[in-house]
Amino acid sequence: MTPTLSGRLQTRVALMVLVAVPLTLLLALLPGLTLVGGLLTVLIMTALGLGWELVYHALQQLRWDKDWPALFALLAGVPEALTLWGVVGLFGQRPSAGTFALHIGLVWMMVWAVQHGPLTVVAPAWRFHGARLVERRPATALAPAAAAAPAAAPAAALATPVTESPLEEMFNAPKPAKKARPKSRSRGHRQLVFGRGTRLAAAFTAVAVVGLLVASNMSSGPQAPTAAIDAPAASPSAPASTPTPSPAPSPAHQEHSKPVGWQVPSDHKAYKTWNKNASVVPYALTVPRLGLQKTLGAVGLSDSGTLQTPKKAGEASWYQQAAAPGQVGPGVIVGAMQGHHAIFAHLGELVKGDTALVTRMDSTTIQFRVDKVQTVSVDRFPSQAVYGMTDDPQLRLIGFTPSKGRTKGKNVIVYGTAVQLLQPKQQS
Amino acid sequence: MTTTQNHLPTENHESPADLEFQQVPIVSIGGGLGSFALADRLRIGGVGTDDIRVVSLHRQPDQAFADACRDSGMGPRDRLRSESSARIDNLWGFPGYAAREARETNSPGLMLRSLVEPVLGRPYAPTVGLVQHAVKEESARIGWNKMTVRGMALRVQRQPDGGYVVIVRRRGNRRDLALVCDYVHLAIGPFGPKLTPEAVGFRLEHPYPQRLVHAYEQHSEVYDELAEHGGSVLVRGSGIASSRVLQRLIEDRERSGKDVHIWQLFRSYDDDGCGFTHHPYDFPKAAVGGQVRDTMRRLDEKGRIELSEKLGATSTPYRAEWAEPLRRARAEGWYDALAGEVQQFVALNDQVRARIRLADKDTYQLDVDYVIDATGMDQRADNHPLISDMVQQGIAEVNDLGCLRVGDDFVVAGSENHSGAIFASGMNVRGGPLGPVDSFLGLQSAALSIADVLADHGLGDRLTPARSVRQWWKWMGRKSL
Repeated sequence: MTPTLSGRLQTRVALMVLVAVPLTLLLALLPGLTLVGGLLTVLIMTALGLGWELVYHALQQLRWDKDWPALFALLAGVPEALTLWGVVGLFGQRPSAGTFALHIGLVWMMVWAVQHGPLTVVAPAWRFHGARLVERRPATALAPAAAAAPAAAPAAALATPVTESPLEEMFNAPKPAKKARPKSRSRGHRQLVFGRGTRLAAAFTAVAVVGLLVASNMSSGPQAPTAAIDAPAASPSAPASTPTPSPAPSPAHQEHSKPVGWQVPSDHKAYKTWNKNASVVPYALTVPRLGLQKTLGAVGLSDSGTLQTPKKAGEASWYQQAAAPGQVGPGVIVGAMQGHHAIFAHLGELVKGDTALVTRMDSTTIQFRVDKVQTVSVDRFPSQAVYGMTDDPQLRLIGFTPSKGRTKGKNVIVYGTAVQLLQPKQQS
Repeated sequence: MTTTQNHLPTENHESPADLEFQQVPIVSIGGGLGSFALADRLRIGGVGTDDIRVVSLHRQPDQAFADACRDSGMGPRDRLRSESSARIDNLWGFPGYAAREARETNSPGLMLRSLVEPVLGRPYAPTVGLVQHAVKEESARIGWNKMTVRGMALRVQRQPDGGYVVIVRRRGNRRDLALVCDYVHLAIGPFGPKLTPEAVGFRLEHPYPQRLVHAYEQHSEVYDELAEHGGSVLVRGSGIASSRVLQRLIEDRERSGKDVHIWQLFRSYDDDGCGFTHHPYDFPKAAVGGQVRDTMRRLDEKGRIELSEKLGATSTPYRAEWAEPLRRARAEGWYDALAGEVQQFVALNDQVRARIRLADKDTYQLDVDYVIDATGMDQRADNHPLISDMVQQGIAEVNDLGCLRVGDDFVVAGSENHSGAIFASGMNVRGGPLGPVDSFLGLQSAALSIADVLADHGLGDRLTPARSVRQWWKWMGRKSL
């Protein structure tokens, strides 16, 4: 913080108005300090202070770095207070010496403390602009932002042939439209760090709030750093023109009707060929007819040797001890059919010939065709048909309802065969 | 720090299908602390991670900084030459590094020291480890890894209808990436160690010169050899790097007990400081945001270069850890200082002979076992292939220092292209509107200025008091953005 002369004067006036005056209003409760007398004292202090700043500025010119320690700035209050004591006496508004010392001492300490820290929180550019709160900025020579997206031409010329599949549109991750920039405001203008008159009050409140926040934060102690959590961004823009063959989803499935806005990790080394022996962890399941798109968890076997079930009814999970979808063998995905927003509530509506898609961690997608849909009771579960080894990549979607009392739970099993591997469409 | 003259592809992408295109508003090339300062400010101004791409060779923003520190022999506990409120990871500079260190080490005395510096006490300076750690935390908070593209920017190309394309050769990916953007930010930093013509001549003759090393290159084997066998060493330069080298040499000499004779060559000898010019910072504080900054802005380019060379002349802070041993070494006679310029380095059998033209016009021949060149970093930006290519294309201009010519708002001269522009900050813009461009505060000052221009054009928000307070509160609580 090495102020310029104009910065000094501006800061002095601003801090007197924003810190000293409110503090005086509070301190007027003190015995012996009248409201008028206190405010008059602050007014005189401001006027004298402008003169003092000239003196300080002249002193700084003797130094190489045009600055002195923060402690000197605090001690400068002593001569200022003594002079003020004399001048206030001339106006005949002098309170008792103790009251005066308390009032001016507190005001000075507060102004000093705000200046050496919290002020930059309210006005971050202040310390780079020579402690000026109002800085004149030159006009930028840039033209206003063009309305047309400049990348349209090369991107269009670049229709990279990926896979010709009507289902590809499912993978157009909902792209944020290029933000329309507001018209350029780049004429030469004063950049007001503290807005115009009306905003002064807001700025004052901010200073007060900052004080409180600092106080409370000091007491709360250091907080543990929170790591940036990689939550999938839920951007709720549904693909408007997707020709999904599905009927309008039922109300119970409202939350599935919008594809979850996950993004495939596009820069992962994409597999050029389909290695059917590689186990690539599945990432998400898409069933167009059910309007379902959901990232997948993973489950194993429970202690009793049965398949674990996902913790929440809204989740589907891959049985990670069997094949991965897209690998030779049956890839098993299990989900609930009952419960709050159960993911496979309508699994039975699938018919032979429908499509299910599993996106994998390498950003490729396997397309499966439904061969058979079967509803069985829990005690007649066709383990061999479901888990038995196959010659080609297969998919098993298993929906379950839990047994309750005498009612046996039932399972809906969807058998699917892999049709093709889809390369990810480029993200932009 | 090795560099390879990379082949710049002009049109070696036969078909556009060789490229993957992405569209983002702003691309920052560099990925060091300069990019970090801008990305931090933009994220605080409400720009999403999708709207910023940082082209970087490194995973973390502090990596290049840490490498430079390590190569010049600074460990994590060594102190930088920076002030407490110059917090690269904290836009507001409050609370400063002193407060953080005081809290972490339970030593409230540090806070007191920052009250009385630089008159009544030696100025506080943060350690390398403290800065690195703080930068890591902040980069996790703003989602740095979502913004970075790891690779090397091959070319920046002007688009006919506004904006730019940055072509990036990605690490671990065969397809090059073309980032279509409106704004480009260049913060490439120093290109490498500065090699004087004599040193270059020596290296051309001896491609593996273990006896002539640069302080900003890996050269720990020199210290190991000297500690094992003793010998003589010539240290060139009088900046902070040479102080570090001397400190290391003296410490090793004491520890090993071998006879090491140290010669130091100053370009000009300052009698007050036994050769050194002592300043706590490389520029007066007022050069970042004070009177000197205002003076600088009023000058034309020639005056700016002159003033910044005058104020930023080589100096080193006075520190007990190297001043005291040096005084002892002078008294014991195993340290000698010379003032002059090296004219030539000649390789002898096991030694290097330096022909030195002394300040009194005599020629002096000095045979030493090792030469450690601490003459600083290469500050000419046009030595960098990317920038020299941009100059050839006519989308950037360089000034007499060989750095990018920028306006007061850090827009590179000649780069305006309809709505697009190229910004630059850091060491690449010496001779611009700011003196200490490569200091923490200089990088932040440039970032604030650039972000204001971007906010004028609709990218991000202005830092109004309300937003600033809110964001500072988030910063204090380590809330990720």
